[in-house]
Amino acid sequence: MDITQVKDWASLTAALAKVKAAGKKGITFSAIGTEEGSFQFLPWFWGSGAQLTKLDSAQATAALSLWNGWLKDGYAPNSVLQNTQTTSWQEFATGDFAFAENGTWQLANAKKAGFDYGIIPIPGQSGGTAPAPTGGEFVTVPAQKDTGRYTVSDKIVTCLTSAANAVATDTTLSYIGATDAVQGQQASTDPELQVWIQAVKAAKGRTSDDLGTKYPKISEQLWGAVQNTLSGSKSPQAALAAAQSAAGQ
Amino acid sequence: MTVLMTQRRRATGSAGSASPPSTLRRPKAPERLAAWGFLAPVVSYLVLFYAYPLYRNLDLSLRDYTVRSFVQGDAPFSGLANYRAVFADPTFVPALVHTLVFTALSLLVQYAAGLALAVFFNQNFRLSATLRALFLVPWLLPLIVSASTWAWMLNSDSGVVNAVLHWFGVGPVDWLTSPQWSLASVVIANIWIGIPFNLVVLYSGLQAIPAGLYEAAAVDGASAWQRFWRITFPLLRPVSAITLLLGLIYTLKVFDIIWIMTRGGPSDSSTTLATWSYRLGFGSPLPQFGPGAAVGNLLVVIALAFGLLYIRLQRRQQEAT
Repeated sequence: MDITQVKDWASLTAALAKVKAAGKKGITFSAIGTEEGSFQFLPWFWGSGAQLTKLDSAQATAALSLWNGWLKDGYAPNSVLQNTQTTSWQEFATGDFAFAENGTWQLANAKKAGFDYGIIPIPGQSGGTAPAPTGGEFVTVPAQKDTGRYTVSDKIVTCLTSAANAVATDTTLSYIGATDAVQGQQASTDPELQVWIQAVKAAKGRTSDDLGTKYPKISEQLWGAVQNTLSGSKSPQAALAAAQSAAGQ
Repeated sequence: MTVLMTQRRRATGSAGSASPPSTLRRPKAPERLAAWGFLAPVVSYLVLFYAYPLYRNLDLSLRDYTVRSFVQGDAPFSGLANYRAVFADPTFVPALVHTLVFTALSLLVQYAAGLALAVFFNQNFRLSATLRALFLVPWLLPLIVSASTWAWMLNSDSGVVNAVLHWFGVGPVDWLTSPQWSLASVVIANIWIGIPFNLVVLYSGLQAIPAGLYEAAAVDGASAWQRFWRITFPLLRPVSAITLLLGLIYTLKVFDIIWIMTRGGPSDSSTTLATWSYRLGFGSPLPQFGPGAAVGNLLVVIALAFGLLYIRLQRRQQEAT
C-alpha cells in the first residue's frame, strides 16, 4: 500500500479495504459522546463542505455515512463509540491499526511506539486538506468595570504571546503556534510538525462563522448524532435531521 | 434536650440543699446560653452542609441560570419553567424508566445474592472468614478503578468477556456500544459492586438470630428449606428492610459507574436521572444549571418518598408487635 495515494475519502477507504484484506485493522478514532467526539468528527464534517449551521445537509450526511460505512465494513472497531483520543491512541499503539486520527500531542508517543509511522493531513472529501478544529490555549481578557487594570493586562498578554515565549509554551505542550514566526521556528527544530502546520493553516475555529456561544449546543447534538448512527439506533439522515431540529431550537 | 434534662435533675438535686426552690423551675440565663452553645456546632453543621445546599439547589432549579448570571448572581426567577422543560424533554421518560429498571434490578439481585451468601457463610466452615473477606474486595476498590475495569472487560473488540464468549462460539456482543446492551452492562457492574454491602449487613443480621431456634426446629423435623423460610427470613425482616432502603438510596444516585462505563449512551440508552442531571449541569461547555438542579431535586423527592414509606412500614410493624 502506498500512502501517497491516499488523497481523498475514496482512496482512504480503498486503503482501509486493502488493510482489512491483509488481516489487519483499519482505522481508529474517537467518537465518544462528549466534545472530544465532535472534535474528531469535525475535520470529516467540514471536509465534506458541511456547515455547523445546517447539520442535516447532504454533505454532513456524507461525512457521517463515511464513518458509519467504516464501522459497518469492519474497517473501524466498534470501540470508537467509547474511545477518548487517549484510548483511541492506545488502540493504535498496539500496532494492529493502519491509521489513527490524532494530534501533535501524541507525536512523542509515536516516536516511542517502536514501529514506523507517517503523518498525513486528514483529506477532504474530494482531496486537499480538510479543515480541522483549532484548540489549545487562548488568552481572554474579560471586560472589567475598573479599566485601570487594562495596561497591566496588556503587558501580561504581550509577554505571554511574544514569539519566544510562545515557542517555549507550544514546544512544552506539543502545540502548533498561531503565528508564522513561531511555526517557522517549530518546523526547523522538528520537521515532522510540518504536516500539522499545514493543517493549522487550513484549520477553523469551532465557534467561527458567528456561532459563538451557540456552538456548545450544536456540538452536543452533533456528537449525539454520531453516537446514534454508529451504535445503529438511527440512520445518518435521521440522526442528523433530529440533531438539526434540536440544535435549532 | 439531654443537656436541659441533666440540668433540671441537677437543679432538683440541689433542691434538697439550702437554696430556695422557686428559682429552679427554669434554667438560669447563662445555663441556657451554655445549652445553646452545646447545640451550636451540630445546628451550624446541619445548616451549613445540609439545609443551605438543599435550599441552593431548590433556588437553582427555580431560576434561569447561565454561566454569566452564575458568577454575577442576577439570574431571573423563572418559576417552574425548568421543571416543565425537564418533563417535556425527550430524555425524561427514558431516563426515568432506566432509573427504575436500574434500581429495581440492582436491588433485587444484590439482595438475593447477598442473602444467599450470608446464609452460606453463616455456617462457619473453615476458610469462611477468608472467603468472606474476599467478597469485600469490590467494596474496597475506588469506583473509578472498578468501573474502568468493567469497561475494559466489556470492550467490544479487546474485552475479556467477548473473548470468553468467542470460545463458546457466541458473540461478539457490543456490551457498552449498542443501545440494547448498555443498560444491562451497567446493571451487571453495579450488582457486583453492591453485593458486599448486602452480604455484610445481612450476615450481621443473621448473627442476631438465636441458634436455639434452629435447634428446636431441627428437633421438630423442619427441613433446611423450612428453617430458612420460617425462621431466617421472617426474623431478618427488619434488617432486610433497612438494607433495601439504604441500597435504594445508594442505587438511585449511582452516577460514577454509568458515567465511566458508557457516559449514559449510546443515544441515552443507559442514561438515568443521575447521569442526566450531571450532563445538564456539567457535561457541556454551556451548562444548564437550572434544569440540572431540577432533575437532581426529582431524585431527592423520589428517595424521600421511599424513606417515608419505610418509616410508615416500620411504625406499622411496631404497632403490630
